[in-house]
Amino acid sequence: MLGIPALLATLTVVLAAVGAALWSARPSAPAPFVYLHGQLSAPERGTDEVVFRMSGGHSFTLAQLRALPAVQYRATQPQLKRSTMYTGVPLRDLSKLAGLAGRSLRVEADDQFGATIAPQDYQDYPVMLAYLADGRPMTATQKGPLQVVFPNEQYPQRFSNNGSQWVWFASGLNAAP
Amino acid sequence: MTHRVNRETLSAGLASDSWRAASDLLVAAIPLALTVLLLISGFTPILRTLSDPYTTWTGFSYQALLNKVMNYALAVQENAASPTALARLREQTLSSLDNTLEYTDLRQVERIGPARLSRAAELFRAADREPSVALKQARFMLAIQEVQRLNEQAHERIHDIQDLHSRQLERLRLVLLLAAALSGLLSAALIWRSLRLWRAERQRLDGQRELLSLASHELRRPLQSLLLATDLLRVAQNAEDRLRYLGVVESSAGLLASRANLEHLETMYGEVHLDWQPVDLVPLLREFEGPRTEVQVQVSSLTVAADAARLRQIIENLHENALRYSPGTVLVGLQLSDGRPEVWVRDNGPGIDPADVERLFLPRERSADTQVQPSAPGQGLGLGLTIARRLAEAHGADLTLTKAAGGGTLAVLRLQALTFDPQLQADPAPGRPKRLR
Repeated sequence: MLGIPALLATLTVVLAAVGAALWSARPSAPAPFVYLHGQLSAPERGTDEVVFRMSGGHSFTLAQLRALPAVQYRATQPQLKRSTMYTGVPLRDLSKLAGLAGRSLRVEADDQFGATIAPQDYQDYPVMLAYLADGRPMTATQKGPLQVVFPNEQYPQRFSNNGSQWVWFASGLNAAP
Repeated sequence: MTHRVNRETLSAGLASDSWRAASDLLVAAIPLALTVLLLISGFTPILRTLSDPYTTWTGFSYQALLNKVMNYALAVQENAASPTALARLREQTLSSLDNTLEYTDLRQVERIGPARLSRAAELFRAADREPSVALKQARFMLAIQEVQRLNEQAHERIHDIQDLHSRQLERLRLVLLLAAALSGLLSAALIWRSLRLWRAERQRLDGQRELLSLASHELRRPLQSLLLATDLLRVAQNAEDRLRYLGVVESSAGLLASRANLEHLETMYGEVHLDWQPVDLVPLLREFEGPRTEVQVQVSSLTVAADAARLRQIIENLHENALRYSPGTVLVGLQLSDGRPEVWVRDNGPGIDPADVERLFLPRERSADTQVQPSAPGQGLGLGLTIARRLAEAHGADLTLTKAAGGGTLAVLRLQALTFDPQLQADPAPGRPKRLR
């Protein structure tokens, strides 16, 4: 008779402990983007090479990309296995410019490689089109000059198993079919 | 003072009750705990292997390298690209040829066959440096073949991994089966055990009920005598009558006292324990003389080893049945046959069908053609013969019911031979068995 309330109390305590553990282990909620700098004065195209093309006719030279509002954070490249400070344009901003906000994006590369980025990823998290690694332009050895970079050091649970989405030698952005 | 003590014992009882309930719950949860433990210990390593990203790879990086090398060789051959474009293509190809980290399980893949990433990089650079156009083609071919071989080795590695996975899945299936079997077995065992216990409890309760009804049956007669005697005592005319009735009151009270010992029902009517004494059968039988009863005894005394009180109960039951189920006189007698004393009770009632006899000894059975109604409500449960037989068996005696010659029923209690000495038995009844002379 006395045992039943004691049992219920124990059960409640156990469930509360399990709930607390699960709650603390849940993936962290996304924070608002922290920008390194806002829109800088956009340089003229001139004779510079167009390095990035988007659907809807938009295209950028490297200098134009670097003038867009930029984010910067440390991430670990999965194929180079190195932690690097990347600087680049958030895909969310590029998608807005291309009129593709909220849709799945297809980022294409020089070597005919491509990857689809879901809106759940690029709208809430600062997934970027990076153009600087450790403050310097990315070399081909570093999979540059343009690469899709994910914030896998800030949000390890979400972005730890998506190496195939880090598009090397990125050259274009379209809507996913 | 007593009140406080009672409250303490009550709360102590409740505490031990709840502890018992809790420990019972823990025992019941053992199969569950074991199954969960087995599942976790068997499941976790397999799950880890299967969900490891590097064990579910597709070999894409090897294919991508082949594409790059072939594209570059093609671009060089066609000579259509600008120097900057070509340079970029070379940089990109070299970035993959030189970066061992982008190939999963490179070491295992290189161990499968002769192809090596480092050799592919060398061949590529040599081809790129080659000034002669014709030789350039051939050298690029070599580089491409090396990467193709590496690619095929990667595919073999994929098959190896798939085999590993299917083995893991087989192991998983086994673990799950074992866990299910274990928990099923334990549950079955516990359920079976609890069913057995429940049945045993039921049986015990039934046994107790039977003992209680036997005891209450045997309390009836002394109670009746007691009540009758006290009524007679009230209206007694003289001292002689009063003394006689007082004697009846005393003997009835004595019988009540011995038969009301409800704590020892088991030894009284179950596994009967006898108090062996030398008992003179003649005065015992003479007690049954009455208005309807005639005692026919030729000898003046006949002593046997018996339990006097129990023997009296046997004869009481036989006598009571004879009185109840027949009109007229009942005869009670004693004789010696083949050295064995026989106590018999004879009536001239309807008699008993031989087919019915065994059934009558079972509790709550009465003869199918009993005409006579019981003399009082609630009597005649059919237990009298059951008791008589049990007590007779405890004495080592035989109790038989037969149709008497000339109508009626003859009940015969055939005791052990006069030379019978209970002390010499292998399993003597406890008490104080006295040695016979």
